[in-house]
Amino acid sequence: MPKIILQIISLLCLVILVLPSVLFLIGTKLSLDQVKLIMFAATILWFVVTPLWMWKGNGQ
Amino acid sequence: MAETQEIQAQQQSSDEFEREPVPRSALLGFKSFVGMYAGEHCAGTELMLGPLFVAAGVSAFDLIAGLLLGNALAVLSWMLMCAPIATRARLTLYYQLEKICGRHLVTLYNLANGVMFCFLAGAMITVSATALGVWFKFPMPGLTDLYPNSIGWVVAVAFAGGLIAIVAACGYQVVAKFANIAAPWMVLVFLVFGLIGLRQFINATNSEIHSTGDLWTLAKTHIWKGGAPQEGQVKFTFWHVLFFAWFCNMAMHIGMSDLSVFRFAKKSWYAIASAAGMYVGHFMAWISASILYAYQLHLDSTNTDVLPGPMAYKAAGLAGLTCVIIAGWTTANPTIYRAGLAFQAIVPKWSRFRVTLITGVIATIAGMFPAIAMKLLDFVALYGMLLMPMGAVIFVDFWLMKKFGLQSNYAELSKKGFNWAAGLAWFVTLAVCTILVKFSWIIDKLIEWKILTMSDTIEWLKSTFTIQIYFVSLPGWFFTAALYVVLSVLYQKKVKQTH
Repeated sequence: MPKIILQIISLLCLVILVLPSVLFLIGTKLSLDQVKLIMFAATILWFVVTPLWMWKGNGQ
Repeated sequence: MAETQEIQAQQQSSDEFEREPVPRSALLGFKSFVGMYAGEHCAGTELMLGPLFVAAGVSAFDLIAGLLLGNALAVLSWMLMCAPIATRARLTLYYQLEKICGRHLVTLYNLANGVMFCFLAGAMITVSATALGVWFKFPMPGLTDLYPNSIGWVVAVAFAGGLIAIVAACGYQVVAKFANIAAPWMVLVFLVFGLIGLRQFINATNSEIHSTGDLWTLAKTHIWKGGAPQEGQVKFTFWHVLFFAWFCNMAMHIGMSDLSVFRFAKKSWYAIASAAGMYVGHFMAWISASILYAYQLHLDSTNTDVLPGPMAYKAAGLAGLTCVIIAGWTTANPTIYRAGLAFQAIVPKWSRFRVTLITGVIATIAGMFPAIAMKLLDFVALYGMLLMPMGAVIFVDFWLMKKFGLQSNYAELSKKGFNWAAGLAWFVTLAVCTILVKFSWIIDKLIEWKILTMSDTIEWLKSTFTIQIYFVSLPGWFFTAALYVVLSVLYQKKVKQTH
């Protein structure tokens, strides 16, 4: 997969990580359990996708 | 991120610039330093320090204003004290010190630095072990605990610390790479802690937030209420917060440890990059972590335990728990490695693997004692105080010695292994600072042993000359600087005469 696509997915992971907590803060109907679940999914995706493009250029 | 790793790799793996100035071709750009500082100062220990501010009874204004100003002073210290020397001399701290102090005194400095790194890594292992408690439900230490309080706790720390030590000894570079990948995610999880904690406070207090004024009212009436500290903690005022934020990395800026970092900077103003670390790690992360603890106290004022694992899990579930483990692990790893490097300078015949493993074992044993983590505010201040005098020696030696008609880099010129002027300046400063910090206790002991009797004068002496550890390093720096000049006048004259 092209590096730029992987980088966009990584960026989206970070957005998905933070967005639910922002929605929770402003008082939408999102429950804390839902926030936690989405955050965990974003975390897994981040650690799967990001090393694919960051690991190789990292510390060579 | 790749540039961040580049600077770390240059510092840790390259031997070519250890005893020579960094050449122009190896200099790095501004972005390298931003990434490095942002990642390095968002550590597992932030999850302890934030709550400890609340436990110290800090008020909202004192915390926010103290952190804003204290962190600004820290950034200025990097910019005006450390980086100008680093970009002129372009030497590692150890080589610069060796030229001034001699090889034997540097060995002593390495020992002190290594021991402090060990304890700091121990606190990071403690943070990681609190995450294991969420799964295995063993009794964890409370705020006032000094010793391990359960077998489960000892096993958890031994497991976490053992793993960290083995990985640090076997594959430091792999963890350093992983730390760089985790850093952006980790910073945002810290932010999420704050956002969720804030909403929980709004819900729990039925507050209506329509403006920043409403938010400020919530902050001062419910989150950082001020008042008396928790049992065993020192009351924190604005000045405590300011000096703590300024001096918690004193060993690095005023103490000049980061000469080794900024020797790669093209310009000394690149040190402004340290603001990324200060305002992400030592502002946002501390505030977020303190909100979680304040919320815990709001729900149950008797639950004073500072346990990052359970706090993070309640706020952010498995992602929060993962953050605690990774934050502790990725920051304990380089700390153990650095401690190993410091010790290896003392026993160069031992392999890097052996030294790092032994260092990791010492850090793990230290981590079993919650006293270090629960008294982290004091420990960090002590760390700064211990290494600060050598920073003053370097500063004076670099800028002022010639103005006083004295030789800089005197150990190198005179081929001495131990510059007594620098050594005594360090030891005497530490002795004076320790006496000032413990002055009240010393007087009480003298009264107890009937050497002194209590009087108004003694009471006045006690209240005037007892200085808390958070404040003693500032006068201590000036004291070392003056003492080093005076001792150098005497020492350099004596050495010249004997030659």
